[in-house]
Amino acid sequence: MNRKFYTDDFERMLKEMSDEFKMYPSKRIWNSIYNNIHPQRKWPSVGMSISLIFTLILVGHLNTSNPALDYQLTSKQLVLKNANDNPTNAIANSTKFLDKSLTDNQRGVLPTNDLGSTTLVNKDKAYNNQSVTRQQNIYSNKQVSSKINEKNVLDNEQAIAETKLSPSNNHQDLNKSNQPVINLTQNSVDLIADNNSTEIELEPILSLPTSQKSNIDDLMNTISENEISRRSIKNDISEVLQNEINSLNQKGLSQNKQELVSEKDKEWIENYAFYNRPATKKWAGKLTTMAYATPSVVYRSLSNNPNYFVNTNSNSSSSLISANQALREQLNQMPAMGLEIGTGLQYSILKNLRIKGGVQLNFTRYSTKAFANSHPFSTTITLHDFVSNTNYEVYESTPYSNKSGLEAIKLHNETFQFSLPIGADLKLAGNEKIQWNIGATIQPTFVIGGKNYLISSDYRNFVKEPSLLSRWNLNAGFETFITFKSNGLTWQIGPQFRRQLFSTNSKQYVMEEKLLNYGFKVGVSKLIK
Amino acid sequence: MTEELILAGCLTNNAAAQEALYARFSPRMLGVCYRFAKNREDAEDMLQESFIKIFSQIHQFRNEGVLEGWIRRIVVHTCINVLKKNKKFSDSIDITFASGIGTKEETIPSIIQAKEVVECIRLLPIGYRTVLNLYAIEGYSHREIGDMLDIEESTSRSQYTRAKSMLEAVLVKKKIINDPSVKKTFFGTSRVAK
Repeated sequence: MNRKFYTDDFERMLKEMSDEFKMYPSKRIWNSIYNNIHPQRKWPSVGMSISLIFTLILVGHLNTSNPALDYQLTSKQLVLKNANDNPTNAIANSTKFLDKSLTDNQRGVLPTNDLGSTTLVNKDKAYNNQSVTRQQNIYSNKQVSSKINEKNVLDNEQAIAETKLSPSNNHQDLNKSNQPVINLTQNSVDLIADNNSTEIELEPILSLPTSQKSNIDDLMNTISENEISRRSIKNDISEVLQNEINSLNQKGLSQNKQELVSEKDKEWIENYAFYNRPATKKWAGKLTTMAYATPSVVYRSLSNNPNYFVNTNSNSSSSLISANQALREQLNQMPAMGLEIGTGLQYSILKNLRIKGGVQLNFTRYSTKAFANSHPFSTTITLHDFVSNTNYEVYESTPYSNKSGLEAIKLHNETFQFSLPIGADLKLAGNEKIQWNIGATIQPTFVIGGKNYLISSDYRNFVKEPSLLSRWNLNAGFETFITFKSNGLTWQIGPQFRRQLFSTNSKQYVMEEKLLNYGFKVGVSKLIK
Repeated sequence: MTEELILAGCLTNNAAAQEALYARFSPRMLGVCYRFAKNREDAEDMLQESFIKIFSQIHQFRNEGVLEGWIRRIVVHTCINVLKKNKKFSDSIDITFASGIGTKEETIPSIIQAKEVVECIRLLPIGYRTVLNLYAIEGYSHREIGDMLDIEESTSRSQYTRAKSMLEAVLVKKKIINDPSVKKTFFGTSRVAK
């Protein structure tokens, strides 16, 4: 009995002591819980991805709009020459090419047919002048616009400063300026009031020039619409609770001041909460958002397009192979680093199978060892005419040669691409924590811009011709990766192979270049609840 | 803020009410997790997982019982699930004779008595400690513990007996409790046979 008493006493003591024991968790724990239960309020990965995407677009845009890139286009001289020495074809080819060239506003060619050749009328000067004039106009427009903006900003700052010093003059200023008064919606006014703005600070904003006012008006309307759309029925109860908490906090009341909310109110709140539970989402637990980056090594496969290859031998396949072999031997090219970044959504359709889609930005690059010369050379590149189904050569001028020159340099063939990968992932093995997957995607791709150095017909020179870059392409991606979970996030790492399915350059160019990316993908995904 | 208001707010996914619920119960629940966990970091992970479950399942709470009891049950089950995922725990829970524990004076922390007792509990091997926590402190029966830990009811009993005697030894050494084998008499103390 004594022993039994002691045992009960011991266990009671243990329970009491343990129940008294408290530990205070770090703030990080609540933040993690909050992020987990309110995922829609925190999308850092998406935000980061968007900023990265914008950065790449900006870099791409700056790269393609660099005036230095236009150097060759404005200085080139073009002569059309029949590849088969056939005068009739030459005229036909040159006329078609002229039409296209004039449309592109890049070249000026006037074909004639003396002695079976095509002569050139050089319109470079006119084109250059036109281009310079246009640039000057753009510049001057930008200048004017920036000056106007600067002036407006200065005027506004001055107006605000003056208003703060003498608030009584506000109405006078408004009347003097004769500007229409903006009618702010009630919601917009509420928002400004929440930010502790006063009428005195508000009114100078109203006296802005009409164009800026309309911008502000649009912004305010957008904000107010968003605000209204957010207010669902459920949030009404949230506001009641929030007000209750705030009033308790302000008055410094402790828990025993419960009588502020009557029993009837409590009952109503509970009933309201009971009958207005959030509906369960069908996709909950199946949809994940992900962001990833894939540093990769980029190279190309380069060959003569077999459809355009001029058959000079009886054995066409062997001559094509030998021509491709000769082409590769002539070039000194090497892989370089590229990058893919993207974001997207994944949806589990089966236990082991997920479909996915998203947006992706790609930067591809490989290098060519070449030589730069002090002055441009005249050279040709071979293009294909689809109407007559013959090849023809276009004269270009370039300072870059393949085998010898003044200074050894590296030319970088680069593209900036935007693609929409769609595909699926299959889980091969693993458990809740760690898994092994394979995946494949097909990626319709738009080429935002880039640099391409094309090999000349005689393999002696490189010609920079961005107008021949194909704008649309298709890529296929294959990957295998390991996923593991950590702190509510799923990380994935693994190798990825991406192959371009069509040539980088337009179909006119007789060489076929397809890019190959060997990358290592690092991604993070989060379940949307 | 009353418990009813907090509950109503949590049912509507209100962030302020959820924070209030967390602020009210997290210190005690972290204490519960700490008794089961290997260290503070693991305890915090258990707490985080528990509260995510609590907020996602709060609509299942019926006002028939006490909210704290319901929360505590979720926390304990989460702790057990986390422990069960650990292979070391699965191995140790079935071992009949666990290795002894170091009860040197310096290994027992001395802060306040409640913390001291908890730290002494945490000195026990994990299998013993879990059974002791569940039986003596959380009030589960040996049958329930057997179901929870996938062990025999008899194993739970024997684990508890050994855990208790080990803990007694530690607490006596720390002078938190008196030695039950020593009986106080009018003429002094005498040792009694167990």
